[in-house]
Amino acid sequence: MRTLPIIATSNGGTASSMWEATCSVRMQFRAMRTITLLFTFAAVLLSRAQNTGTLRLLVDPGHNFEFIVDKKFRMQQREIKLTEGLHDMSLWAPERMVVDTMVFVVADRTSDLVVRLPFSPEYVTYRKEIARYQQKKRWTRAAPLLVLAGGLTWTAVSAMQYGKAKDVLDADRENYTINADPRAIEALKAETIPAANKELKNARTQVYLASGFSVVSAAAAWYFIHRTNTWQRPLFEDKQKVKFDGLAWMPGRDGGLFMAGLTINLSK
Amino acid sequence: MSTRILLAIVVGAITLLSACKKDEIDLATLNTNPFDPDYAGAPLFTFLSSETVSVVVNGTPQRNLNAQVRVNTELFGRATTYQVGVDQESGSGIPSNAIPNGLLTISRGNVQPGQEVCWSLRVGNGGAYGGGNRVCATAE
Repeated sequence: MRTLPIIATSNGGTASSMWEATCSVRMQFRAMRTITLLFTFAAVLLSRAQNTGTLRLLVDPGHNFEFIVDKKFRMQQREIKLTEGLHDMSLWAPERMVVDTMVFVVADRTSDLVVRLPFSPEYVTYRKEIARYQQKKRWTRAAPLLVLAGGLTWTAVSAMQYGKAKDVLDADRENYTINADPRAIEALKAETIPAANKELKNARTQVYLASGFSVVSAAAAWYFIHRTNTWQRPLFEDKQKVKFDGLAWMPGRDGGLFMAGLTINLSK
Repeated sequence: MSTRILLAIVVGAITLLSACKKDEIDLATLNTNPFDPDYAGAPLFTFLSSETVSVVVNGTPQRNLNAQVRVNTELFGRATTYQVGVDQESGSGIPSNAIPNGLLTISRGNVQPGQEVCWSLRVGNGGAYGGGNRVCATAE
């Protein structure tokens, strides 16, 4: 603040000089008030420029997606308050691709961002591989078991036929014991019993073959089941997560892989 | 399916088959039925006693030897009617209803004192004969 000079005169001219000094002070006061008002208006304008809006994220999948705002802030929520203006959004969910998009947030309003994150190519490939793996494993196990079931069925049918042949032979033996007709006994010994003997022998051979087949089938089933247990299940490497994280742990066959991403902006 | 279940099935099947194993009938050893021509068991006829009697045939005196024989029907597989054939391979024999209590009397005429007489006896049915044995007696 500048000090106003006061001029004193001996002939009464002192009053006029006093009036002029008073006007000058008033003008300076008005200028000060105007500047203060301008600052206040500017402050109000600035405060209006920092107003926020709400962004509601409607993302498929809705339960486990994450996003990064303006390539700085990583979050995991369904709504976010952002300052008005254009924002960069990177969205990602496990097994999905990273989707980058720009969003304009309007102050004091709720905007919806509807995004469907497509499955990542690695995940699609993994799904195909796992389906192929499971189908191969299922058939490798089921085929010998089906063969074993066939072998056991064959064994059961052969055993039943063997039992029937035994019953026929037992009936012939009983018939021989109680028969009182020499001619019938001769026929029994010459034709009936030899035929029953042959039937029993054939049935027994069938049972042995079927049993052997079943044993081999069981061994094959055991071998294939154990062999499929040692097969390596395809692993899903979520490269999109690596991209999203820039820092990730990738589980692997021999323990895993620790991956770190480093971005250096050479333009600055 | 676990290994234990597979093993149990295989072991069970083998055990079952082993337990149920049965051989064919050996025809060479099938000779226990008295009505079987190849019968090789205990004697079916047992000599009980004999007597020599003098008779006159057409005015000529001669001696007849009568032997009493028991038919061992307990060796039959079941109670049944039967025939006894005496020195014959086929044809009608003595029906069982003519053999009360299984006691049979057979005769041979015109024998000399001290002469041994044998009969070949067989059991049968329907004109065919099975097992049997020889029975001998000595005339007095």
